[in-house]
Amino acid sequence: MADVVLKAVEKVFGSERVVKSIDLSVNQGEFFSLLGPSGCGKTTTLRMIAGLETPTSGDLLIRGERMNDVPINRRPTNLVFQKLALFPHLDVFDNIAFGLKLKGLPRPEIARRVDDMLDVVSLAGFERRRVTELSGGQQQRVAIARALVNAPAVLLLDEPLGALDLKLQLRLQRELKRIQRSTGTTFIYVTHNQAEALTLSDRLAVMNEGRVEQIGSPADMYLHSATSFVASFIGRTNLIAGEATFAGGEARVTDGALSVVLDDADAPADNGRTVLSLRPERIVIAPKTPMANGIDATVAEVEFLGATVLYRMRIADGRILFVQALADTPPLAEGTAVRLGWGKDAAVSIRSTTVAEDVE
Amino acid sequence: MSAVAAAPASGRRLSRGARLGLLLGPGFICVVLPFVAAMALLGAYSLNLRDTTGAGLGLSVWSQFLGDPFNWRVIWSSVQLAALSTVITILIAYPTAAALLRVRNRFYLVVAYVALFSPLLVSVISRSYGWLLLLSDTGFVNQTFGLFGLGPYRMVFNETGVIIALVHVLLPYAVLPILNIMTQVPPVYREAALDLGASGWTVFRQVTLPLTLPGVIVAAEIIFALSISAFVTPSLLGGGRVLTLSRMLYDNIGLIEWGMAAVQAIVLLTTALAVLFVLERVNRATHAARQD
Amino acid sequence: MQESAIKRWALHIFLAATLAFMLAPILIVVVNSFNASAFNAWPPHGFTLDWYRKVLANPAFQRGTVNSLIIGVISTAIVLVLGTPIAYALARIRLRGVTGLKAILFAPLIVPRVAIGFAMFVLFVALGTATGLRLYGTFTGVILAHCVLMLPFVVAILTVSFGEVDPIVEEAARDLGASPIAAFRLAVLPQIKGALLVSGIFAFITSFDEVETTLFVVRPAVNTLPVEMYHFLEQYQDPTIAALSTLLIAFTFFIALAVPFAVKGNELLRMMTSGKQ
Repeated sequence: MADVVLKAVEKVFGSERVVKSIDLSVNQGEFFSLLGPSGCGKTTTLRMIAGLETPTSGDLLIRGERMNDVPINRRPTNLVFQKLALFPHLDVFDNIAFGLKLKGLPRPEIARRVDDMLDVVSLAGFERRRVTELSGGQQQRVAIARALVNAPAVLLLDEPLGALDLKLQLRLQRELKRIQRSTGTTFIYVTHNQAEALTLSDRLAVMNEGRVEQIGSPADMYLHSATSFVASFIGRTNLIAGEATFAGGEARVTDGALSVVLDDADAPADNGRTVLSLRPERIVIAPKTPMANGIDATVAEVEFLGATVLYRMRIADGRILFVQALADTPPLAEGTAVRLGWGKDAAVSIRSTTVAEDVE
Repeated sequence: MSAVAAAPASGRRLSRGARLGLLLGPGFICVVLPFVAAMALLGAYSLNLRDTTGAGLGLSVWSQFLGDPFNWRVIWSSVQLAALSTVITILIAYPTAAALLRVRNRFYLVVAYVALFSPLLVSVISRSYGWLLLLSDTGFVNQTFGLFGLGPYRMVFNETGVIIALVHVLLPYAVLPILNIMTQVPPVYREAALDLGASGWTVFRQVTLPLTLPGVIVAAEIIFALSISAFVTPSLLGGGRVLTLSRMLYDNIGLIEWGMAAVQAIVLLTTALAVLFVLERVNRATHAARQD
Repeated sequence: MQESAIKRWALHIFLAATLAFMLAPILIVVVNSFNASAFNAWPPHGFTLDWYRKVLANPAFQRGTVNSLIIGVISTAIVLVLGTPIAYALARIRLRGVTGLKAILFAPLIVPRVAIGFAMFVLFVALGTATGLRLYGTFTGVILAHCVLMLPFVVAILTVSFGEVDPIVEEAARDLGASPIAAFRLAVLPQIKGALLVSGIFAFITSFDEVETTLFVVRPAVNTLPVEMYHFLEQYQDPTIAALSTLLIAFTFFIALAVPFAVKGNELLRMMTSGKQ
């Protein structure tokens, strides 16, 4: 069952269309992420679901009810803010009890639910601490508890781990996943961090320039990227663009010095310009047996990543191919000439959109 | 989720204008509007709206006021008094602020702050009375002078007493902005200048003073505005013998010369604004000079 | 950076002299309130509490004190109630034309108080003649005049402090189920408690000490204490006024120091000495 549905939702600020006709459906109990670079409209989308912004047009439904005109305080959603927004004048208990008190629950009931929630976020014993005295990670957990204690239908999280250091991020990611599983609450999680989104999500939507580029599971997104933006934003890839020609059940796409052969079933039927994504780990260095595709290259740069090595290989026309190999042998030296090969099924045909900037 | 069900679609978000109106409206209608109306009426009265001379609406009161050299003398002496108090106050406030910054003993610091700023909490009337006691012919100050065979000096019911008491009123207002800017000037500038071989005096003249000048000007603006319009202190310490614009205004109401009083009120306001304007220009100029 | 010892000593002596200058008129008032001499003879001619008895028995001072307390409390309450939403609006809502509104709002800070007093007097009399509204010489009139003086101070203090409250806590409170007003009351107001207290004390003391504007709008029945003192001092200078001043000094110090200290003891001390090291 769908918990949150967006139908052709748009948001216009002044003359700027920040969100362009989005369709989304988030299932009950799902961990769903909105992933994209800053300015892609993901936070605005989340704020519309929360009720902090009103959609300019389109329909927003939560559990089947139209929410466009329901004010934020009457929505079955709660938000974990990017800047946390804990109440500095209240202690941990009163922060978490804030929503329950507003609902007018009896005191013992409030105390019980806050206690339970403190256990869930591993903060038992911190009731009377001032929130300003807590560490970043502890504040984060108070923010999550404060939202989750209200038993919202949907918990919305706006880059909640962005301000923390990497180690803490990784720990809290696991914790978030555990909390989500144990409560069965639908989570909608906004992030610009693709690793985070892939780790946490059941499904995710990649957004770019106010549009949804693709919706799917993390594996889907990686293996069957629908667009060049998705392919380049999630992981790293080699994009190859050229005319496709068909002969003998095979398609051939030529782009400069590169010529890629694939099954014609995998290439678009119209005989036009085709864009392919070739993941770096699908390319084999010095293949033992002949492969469907092959090209000569020299090692331009070597990046040792631990388990794997990332090579920037220069091909005849001067362009760079990314190649990722297991680090089971000592890395090749720069300047080494090698033969590269890949199978017919390695390159995937995708829709051409923009290309994500290399963020490292 | 039961909370979802009941949600009226209407009247949920007010427009910005409506919100601003709700927030500003009561205060502006109840307090600001009467003030504006009062000031407008003041202008109207200065144009002889409440005709007591039979001259009709016009500039007759103004020409009467401006045509009388006595009034010009009062304006001039008010400005002089205010300017003198301002200059003396600044000359005391600047080293006081500099000294405060160098106090390391926490207890002494608290004592100094309390001594400097607590007089703000004491009624001007009480303080004027205190100065009357201190400065009278047989008061503490003249008695002390007497021990050295000096005096007695006449210090009440003349300008000397007024200025001394005014400085006392103004000093806390002057110290605050100067102290404020001094804490913002990083010591590295002074250190760099000293390192470059400048003498202490040169450093002060070329580095510290220019950097702290904006604070001095702000202080001067505040205390000039306060001193030109001061009423209680000049009245009580001047004993009616030191005539200022504000005192003359008060007397004119007793005489039911409302048109004249209105003119004087506007002249008082204009004088204060004129000096503020000049000081503000100086402030901009020094800012601009520092930007280069 | 080491400064010359001479310069340091010179500055310290200067500071000590300034402090003595600041305290002198206040100390002498306190001392003189016990002076047995009716002519303020110096050194004092013996110790007496007669002046305190005189002050407490003086009907004009009694009435003035009651009037001042009533006017101070009511006008403080009014400016806090009216000033808080204005400060909130100035801190949170950006709109064109606000600069003009601000200029009018803060104008009473620049306009000489004597001029404000006279202008209010003229307004009250004119309104009285035109509409029969009785403002001149009434509590309502004095309170209105005091509100005009106090509102800009209160708004200035509160605007700064609203500016320090992250607007996001209001969104958080709304998200947790609060109506806009509840969000303000539960999430914002508690954070500016200190500023409300400070501006309230400030407003009350301003009203309680006000002479220059008040002189123009009072009639003997509603004379405030400072006005009574001013008129008294214009005629007599015996230590009665010293005794009254001493009582007032004790009272204002109690309000200004004891109240905030009771609320948050050490924080005030820290505030007073901070920004120094």
